[in-house]
Amino acid sequence: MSDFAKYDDRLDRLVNLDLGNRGIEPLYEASRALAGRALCGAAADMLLTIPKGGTAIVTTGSVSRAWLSPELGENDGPSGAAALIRALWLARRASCILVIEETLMPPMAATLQACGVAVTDLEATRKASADGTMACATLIPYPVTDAEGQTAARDMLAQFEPDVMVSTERVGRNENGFYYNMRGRDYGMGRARIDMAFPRWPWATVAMKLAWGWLQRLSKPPCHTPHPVIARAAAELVPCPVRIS
Amino acid sequence: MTAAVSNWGCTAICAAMALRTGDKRLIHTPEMEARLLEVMTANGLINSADGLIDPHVDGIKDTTHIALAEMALAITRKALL
Repeated sequence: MSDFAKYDDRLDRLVNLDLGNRGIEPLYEASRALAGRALCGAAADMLLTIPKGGTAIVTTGSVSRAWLSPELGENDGPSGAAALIRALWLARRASCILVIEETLMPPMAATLQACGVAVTDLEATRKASADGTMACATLIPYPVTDAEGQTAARDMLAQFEPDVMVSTERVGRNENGFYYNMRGRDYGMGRARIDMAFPRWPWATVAMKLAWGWLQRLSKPPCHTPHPVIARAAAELVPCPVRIS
Repeated sequence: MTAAVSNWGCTAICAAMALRTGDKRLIHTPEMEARLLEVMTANGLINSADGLIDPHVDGIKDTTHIALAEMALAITRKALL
């Protein structure tokens, strides 16, 4: 057992307290049982395995009122992503590339800066990662159409060759290609198709609060209630092989 | 990684990274959480559960999110002394 196991378990229990009554606790229990260890510890170990100066693609951003405006983004996701990027730079001097809707880039940049991370172009981020002089990250927009999303997935992964990919508070599509919110409403308009990049990069992936679309792919109609198949799907996304560079 | 709020999952991972590296700077502190909640509100990000631009997240009060960061910090404190 890891020296950190008891601390990891306490952290896991803390952040899985379902104060919003969203049914997360059964998902946690199933994931924890399959992983055989605390999930935050598994994720931390994965993130710390990347080489010093390695590349992390981080994505967040939920245009949760997409039917009104793609500029209306949710406040769950950005601060967590910023905290992780800060930690990745401090621990591994990682070159972090945050992929998000173009419409959400301004608030995301402000959140990163408030967390101590400068938003710079990729050249500066790489340079800062190499010489360790400044916590920097690069924001890039991702297309919002299916066709462009597929092409962008291939191009982005070929260009950046990430050592790890992290997704927090992003939705995925269901089997019919729709992005549903937890109330079963299609909110895919103006939404970046970043989920298309993840099946192409199975090496090292950390996903937070699993995407409703992926869960709904296994449980029709769209539901808000934990389901045995959903719990299994959630668990299966936890332990992933780490890319050895 | 499951979490009741996605931001909380990140807080837990940052704490677990701090434990492993022995570097307290990696912890997402309550002070930082409070600052980010303010900045996100000032920049128009929304509390989706309530449909308002405010510092509460997923319908859970801002003070709870700050307290959660404090609890995560407290959990790691013994190991990082």
